[in-house]
Amino acid sequence: MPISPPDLVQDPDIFRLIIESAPNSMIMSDERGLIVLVNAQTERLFGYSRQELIGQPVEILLPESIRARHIGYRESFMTSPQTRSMGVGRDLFGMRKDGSLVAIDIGLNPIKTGARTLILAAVVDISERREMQRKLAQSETLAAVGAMATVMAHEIRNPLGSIVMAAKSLIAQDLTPVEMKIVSDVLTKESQRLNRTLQDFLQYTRPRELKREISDVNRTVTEIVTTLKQDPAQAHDVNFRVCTDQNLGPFPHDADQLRQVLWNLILNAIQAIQGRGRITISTQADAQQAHITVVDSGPGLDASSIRKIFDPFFTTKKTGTGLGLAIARRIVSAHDGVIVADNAPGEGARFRVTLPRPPSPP
Amino acid sequence: MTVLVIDDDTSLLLMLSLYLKRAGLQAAIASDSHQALQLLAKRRFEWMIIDGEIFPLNGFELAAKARQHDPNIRIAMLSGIYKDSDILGHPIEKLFQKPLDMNALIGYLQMPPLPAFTS
Repeated sequence: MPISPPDLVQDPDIFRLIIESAPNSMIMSDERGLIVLVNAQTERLFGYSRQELIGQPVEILLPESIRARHIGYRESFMTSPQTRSMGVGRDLFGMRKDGSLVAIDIGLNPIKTGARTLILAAVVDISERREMQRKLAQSETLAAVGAMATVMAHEIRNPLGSIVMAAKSLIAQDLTPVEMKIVSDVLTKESQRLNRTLQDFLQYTRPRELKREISDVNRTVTEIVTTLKQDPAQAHDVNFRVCTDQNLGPFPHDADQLRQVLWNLILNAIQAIQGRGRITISTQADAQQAHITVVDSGPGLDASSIRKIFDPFFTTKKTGTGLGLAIARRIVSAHDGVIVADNAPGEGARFRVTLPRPPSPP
Repeated sequence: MTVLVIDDDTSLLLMLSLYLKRAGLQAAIASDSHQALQLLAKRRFEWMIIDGEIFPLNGFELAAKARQHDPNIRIAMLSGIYKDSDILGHPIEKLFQKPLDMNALIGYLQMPPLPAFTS
């Protein structure tokens, strides 16, 4: 005759078998926090025999430093016991009999039997997972440091090389006025380049706090495009198209920092089209958000670039810090907004910024 | 002696050109491989100094094209990333690391070609 689930739970032998065959450590404790039942996995994980554990407070399995606090947590849990995982977002450790620590995850399940409430804790050893996460984080950090070193070496060594050559050339007493002008221009330009690199680096590593003031995004877009159109060196052969949504009224945001985002996106677009082609900048409003889109007529982004384009120090160009778009993402995120990159059908790369439009303060 | 220098770093290009001219060499400059090929088609150069990481043809591709065009042209490469072993098998006789030692570069340009590169 088949056994129904309620019979299973009520039969103490079957209940013990279920606990015993669980793939993880299972520990049952009573209202006072004393251990009443453990399985073989618990013995294996913590190095105690079950005889040593039964009747002991569950705190025996915790590092000494958190035992006192745990008693408080346990007592407050008993006032409204609910199934939940313990310490979400916190690093939990158990302590073995030999004093060594083990990284664990704990799920707590209150079990009511008549007037009593017992707590069944399922304990999973996550030390391997933790170790893998640690190694992954370490390798990601090393890769990021490597990328930073490569970019910084390039962006510092090259201008420095030209500066040293220019400075040494001044030893000659007979430079012509034209040669003096060349040397002076190189010294100025390359010093400014070094300064820009440093600014990008500082801005990325030490971002400014947001100063939200009511400002008009449409106006910012128009101002940037007007400035660029007046700079033939940057945008002589660029056909700018600006489509602003007049429903997008002023709203609180950090206009200076958003200007930086749009500059970075538009300069990036100019470089993508190698200074020649079309760049379309449009704004759009919906009930709660502002959208700004920058589309260029360049070759577009390949799949791998789309994945990494906002990573710091990632660059597809020969020069540049690879920080412009990383800074843009950081600023947009600080506004609780989103920035995404893809390819626009029939065009090149497309960057879309979405910002929440919080109601203006009274 | 005529030298064509190709680098997309304008400041470096200007400084190289200034140093070469002051050393008595005739220097022409190009900031990409297209410009370089156009100059090569117009006149003969004894030396070509190519930045390894230029665009759209890289330094190695441009070196191959230049040698095809003029079997006698001597080619040196400038680079911050390539090593001596990277130029093996390419028609490039010398690699100069950035930042450049201009005395070494100018001294080398004035030396007669090594036997391996004269055949």
